[in-house]
Amino acid sequence: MNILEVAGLKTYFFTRRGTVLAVDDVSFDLRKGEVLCLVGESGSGKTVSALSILGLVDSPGRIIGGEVMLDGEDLRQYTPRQLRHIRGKRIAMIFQDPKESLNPVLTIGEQIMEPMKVHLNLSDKGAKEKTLLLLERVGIPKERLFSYPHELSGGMNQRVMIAMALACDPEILIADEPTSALDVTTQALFLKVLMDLKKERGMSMIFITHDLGIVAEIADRVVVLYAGRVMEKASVWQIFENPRHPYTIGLLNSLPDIVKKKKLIPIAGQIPGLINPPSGCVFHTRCRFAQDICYRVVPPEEEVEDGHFSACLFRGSADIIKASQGERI
Amino acid sequence: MPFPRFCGYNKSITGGEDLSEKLLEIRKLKKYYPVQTGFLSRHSDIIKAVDCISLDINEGETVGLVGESGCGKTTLGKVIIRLEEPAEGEVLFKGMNILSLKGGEMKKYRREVQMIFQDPSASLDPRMTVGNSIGEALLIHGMEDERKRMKRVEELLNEVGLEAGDYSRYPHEFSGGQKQRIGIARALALRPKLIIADEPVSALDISVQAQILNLLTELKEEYKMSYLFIAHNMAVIRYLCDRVAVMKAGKIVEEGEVEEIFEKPKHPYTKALLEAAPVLNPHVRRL
Repeated sequence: MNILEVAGLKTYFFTRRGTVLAVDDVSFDLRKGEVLCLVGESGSGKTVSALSILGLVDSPGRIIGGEVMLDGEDLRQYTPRQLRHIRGKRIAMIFQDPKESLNPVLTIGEQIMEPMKVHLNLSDKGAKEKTLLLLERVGIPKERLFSYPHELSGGMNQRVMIAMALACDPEILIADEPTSALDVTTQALFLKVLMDLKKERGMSMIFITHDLGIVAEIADRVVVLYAGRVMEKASVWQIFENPRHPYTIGLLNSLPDIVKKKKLIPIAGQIPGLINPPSGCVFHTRCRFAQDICYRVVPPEEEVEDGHFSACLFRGSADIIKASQGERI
Repeated sequence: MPFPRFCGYNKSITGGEDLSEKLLEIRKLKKYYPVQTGFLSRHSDIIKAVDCISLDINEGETVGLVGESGCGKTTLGKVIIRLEEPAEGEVLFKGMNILSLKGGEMKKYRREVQMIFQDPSASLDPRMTVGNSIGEALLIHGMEDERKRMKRVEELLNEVGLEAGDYSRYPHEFSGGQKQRIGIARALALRPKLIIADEPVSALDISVQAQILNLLTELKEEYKMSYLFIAHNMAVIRYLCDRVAVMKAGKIVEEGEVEEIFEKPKHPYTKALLEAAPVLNPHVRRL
């Protein structure tokens, strides 16, 4: 069952230099209880997609089309007041840098209690009790209730962010690169806490990352984004074992593996600018399988196997299938 | 261009018969920083960023230095090129202690050891053209003829995968990956023997990261250099390095051949680092 459906989302930024097509016709669903990973490099539109879901896109950006359906209701029709009742209560978000998103002059206790007082009308005492339970659950000693963010390490602050996000038992948690500022050992610990809580509460999660290692570790399904468009959508198994888009194949071929030394085959060229994105398929400028037709036609997403969509005109070609199986590993 | 020779150049050490010749030897190096902590900075404390480290780099070898943030790996790199002065210890380059070098000798040493930084945007002067940034080192080290300098810079631009026409453009016109290529060209300008690369790919997107890793590998062969490759990403270390040193809180806890460290890590910290790193295979999930 889908708890969230994003369909045909278009978020553009109207800057003086031109219109930036940050998210251009992106669709995906989030099923109940699953972890959906949005994967992409910088400028792929993964963060803007998440912010669009919550209606947090600031000027000069604007959502100019598409639907965001939460349990059958279109969040885009909501007033700002109605949206405030959704944010933090039904959909919560964790950001990349906890230092930037925590308030430096409030104790972490006050910050975790705030959403409970706003959304759940809890008293100070009730909120405090719940906060202590949450802190314990994320592995922060309860004396830390009165600490300020600068007194805690990056990993601890990020766990405070989870506690805050979970304060009102949201149905959906959106995590935007929550571990990219953390060291590997701290990251592993953080992911463990996050995944345990997700299972315990049956939450659904959108996890944004550029790290395919984390995707392999936690995802149920994956959406691969590039230059504001969806390239491939599939289960985590399909993505790693049978990728059917040259961009996904390129990403997997350009990553060194910790288990075995392998040859790296990089993707040529640079990420395109989004003011004048390439015509036709946005990836054609860097694609080694590109043909004339790729310059003209925007490839539709088509199903290559059960639940596996690829936006490549040649998704079924022998070359691509060979590249996806042979050259890697 | 012939390599400059040092005053204290020792022919018997750098004869060139033995391939595993020691290029750099670090002996019991220490670098401490005083810090003020507590209310009104009443307490002073010492941070041991580099705490008695010994490490060798052979000619033509890539040595990885891996550890988490704050373990002192960048400080060690800076001491080697003398951007920081150590408290104790020795750094021998081709058998000569570089910590006692002065003036002209120091300048000669700087031609042989170069650094590539993590953030290419921060390490290029935004008001200098790419050509001037790369050519500056050539000028300082005596290539005064502008035509010759321009020719060498254009050659370098081609070698790192840019175009000769990029000579008169400014850093902001380039993407992150291209800026890192400029940083690499600048480091190569004087044909160094050793490059200290401090997290050169961690700020780059994955599709570009592989391009730079392959470029570094090719250039190493071409220029017959050694690398000290500082990184926190274990997979990148495995891809690029011959030997690896694992650093924790200012100390090297384990050192060895790459395959040995990855296949049979001995120190618990090395094991923890390897276990914590995500694996690109959904079959080996642990969460």
